[in-house]
Amino acid sequence: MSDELWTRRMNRRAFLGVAGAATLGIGLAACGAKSSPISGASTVASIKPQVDGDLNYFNWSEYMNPTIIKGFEKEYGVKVHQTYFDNMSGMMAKIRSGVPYDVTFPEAVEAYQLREGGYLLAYDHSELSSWKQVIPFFHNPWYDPQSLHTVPYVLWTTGIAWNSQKVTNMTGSWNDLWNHPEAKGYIELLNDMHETLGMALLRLGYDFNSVDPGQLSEAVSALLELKPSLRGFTSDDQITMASGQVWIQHAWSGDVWLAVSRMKPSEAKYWKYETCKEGVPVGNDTIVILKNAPHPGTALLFVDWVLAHAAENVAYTGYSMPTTEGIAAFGKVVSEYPTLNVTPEMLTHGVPFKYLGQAGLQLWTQEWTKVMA
Amino acid sequence: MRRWVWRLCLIPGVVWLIALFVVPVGFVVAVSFGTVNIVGAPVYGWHPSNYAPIFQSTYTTVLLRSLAFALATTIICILLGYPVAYFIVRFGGRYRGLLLGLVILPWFVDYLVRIYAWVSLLGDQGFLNGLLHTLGVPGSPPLRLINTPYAVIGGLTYDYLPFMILPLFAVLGQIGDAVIEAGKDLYGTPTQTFFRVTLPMSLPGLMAGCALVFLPSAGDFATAQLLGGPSSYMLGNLIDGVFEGGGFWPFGAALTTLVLAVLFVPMLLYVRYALRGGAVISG
Repeated sequence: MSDELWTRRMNRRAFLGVAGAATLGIGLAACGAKSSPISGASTVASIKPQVDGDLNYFNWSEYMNPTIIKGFEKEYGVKVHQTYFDNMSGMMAKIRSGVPYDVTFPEAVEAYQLREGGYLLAYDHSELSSWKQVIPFFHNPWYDPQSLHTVPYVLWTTGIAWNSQKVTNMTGSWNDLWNHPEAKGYIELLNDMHETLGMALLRLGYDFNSVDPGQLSEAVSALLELKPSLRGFTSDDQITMASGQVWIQHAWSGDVWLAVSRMKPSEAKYWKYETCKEGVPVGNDTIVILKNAPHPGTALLFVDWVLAHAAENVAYTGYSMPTTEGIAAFGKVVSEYPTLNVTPEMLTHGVPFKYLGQAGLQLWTQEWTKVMA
Repeated sequence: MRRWVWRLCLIPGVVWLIALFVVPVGFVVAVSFGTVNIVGAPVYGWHPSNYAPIFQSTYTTVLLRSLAFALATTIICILLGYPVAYFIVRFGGRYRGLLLGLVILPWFVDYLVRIYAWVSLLGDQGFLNGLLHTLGVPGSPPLRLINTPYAVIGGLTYDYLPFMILPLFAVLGQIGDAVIEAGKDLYGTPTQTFFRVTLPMSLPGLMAGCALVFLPSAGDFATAQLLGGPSSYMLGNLIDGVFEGGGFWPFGAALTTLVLAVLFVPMLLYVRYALRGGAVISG
């Protein structure tokens, strides 16, 4: 099993800490005094989709099928210079310090922050020939009204994965994490502030993005109560499931698929995934072009190209993409695990990750640190 | 004139320290009193309330745990490192260099990779549990070796052991055979000779080793992240979580300042010891 560790593809959120910490140090020093322009309505840039240089690409590693990038290079005769980030904090620090990337891939919350901060290029999406493939939900998402700055990238749900050989009686509720004493020491939660505190809030019947101190402190108490039953907090749920060290995993749908698709069929058949009735967090990443992008024309071509190749991407990443083709292709990819599918209806009924505001973020950080301590 | 030249030589070191240590620490402290803007960038200001939560008992527990792990690591490093350094110096002969090289060899591999190696050694289906299974040791589920405080202390010991061995090697190598023979000539038993001659003379190296092991292990986070469980996180993990997990940076900076302030005490004790001549190796 130890081989698994070395041969697996890195989960995008996998812990790579030290390098990331160095980046953040730069961010800390470089960005302190910078006051960024807060712009409400951006003026729409008149960018045409035509090659104006090589592309500076900034993403998680292993988060796009390399055939898509190779195909783009070949089609347009440009080079894609790839740089990777380890986490959203590192991505934000680099963007704030003004590194001239053309395209990057923030999650919805970060896309909201970058748009509000005036870091994103607004452009006419009708220049994208594949825009009509994007499902209507994303034509006016909460983080980008009128969808002038973003196109959606991947989709996921957050739920509970379990090994049915070890654990039974799962009820489609977040209570399943609390109600299985037989799995004591074999339960892991996500090492992610918003996912885990938010999950505890949902279970108590509160809002996933609540900034009410009383509600948050109840959520913390509930998590501390669960803590003795935990094996740990992980940002690498794919490997904890594959390693057999965990029976019940608070998990990202895409990582569950990556985990089962790499297990021996005799092991994979025992793994199940459920979303929970108190609320299903549905997250999405976006593709954005930065305002200071040196090559916005090439970037526009690239965004279009990625949307057009959604079907090619979903099997590779394990995460769905909200275009008609992407959704159809992903449905086939997870046909044996229908609960891993992310449908347009789930987007409407699911709970989104919202920006908590500065004061909210401060409160959440303090409360989350108590859980981790 | 010559004094003046030597003082000039201090400049690069001082500039280096100021640019890469004093200034960054200054930033961290400044950020700890600030807030953030919409994109999460620190904005300087005066918000001492950022420090209010860190005096809660939750953080005292983590702080004490971090210090206890570092202390345990230091003690184990002394117990393991001293005999190794002593053996290499006294009995290494012409293989001294080679043996010392072997001590350092694992450090050619990246720190994180070495901790990951421990994960695959100690995991439920890792090498050690596999070995126990093969030997017929009963147990299902397998032995819980990883995700325990012991695994964290073991990992930290492995991480920092050479920092104990190297300074000990340096001082023990300075002790002439003649001195030890003199101890024996004065009718000292080997034990007495060790405790009255060798150990006191190696004290500067031992103290340097303790400082080099204790300080970084108290601030470590990667080891506890990968080998620890939910109740064995160290302060470094909390700080890492705030900065890398998209938290409120000023709070992370406040926690960092707390660690710096606490670790400043043992550092100061060591510096005082060194200034009083303790660290000077007298030949």
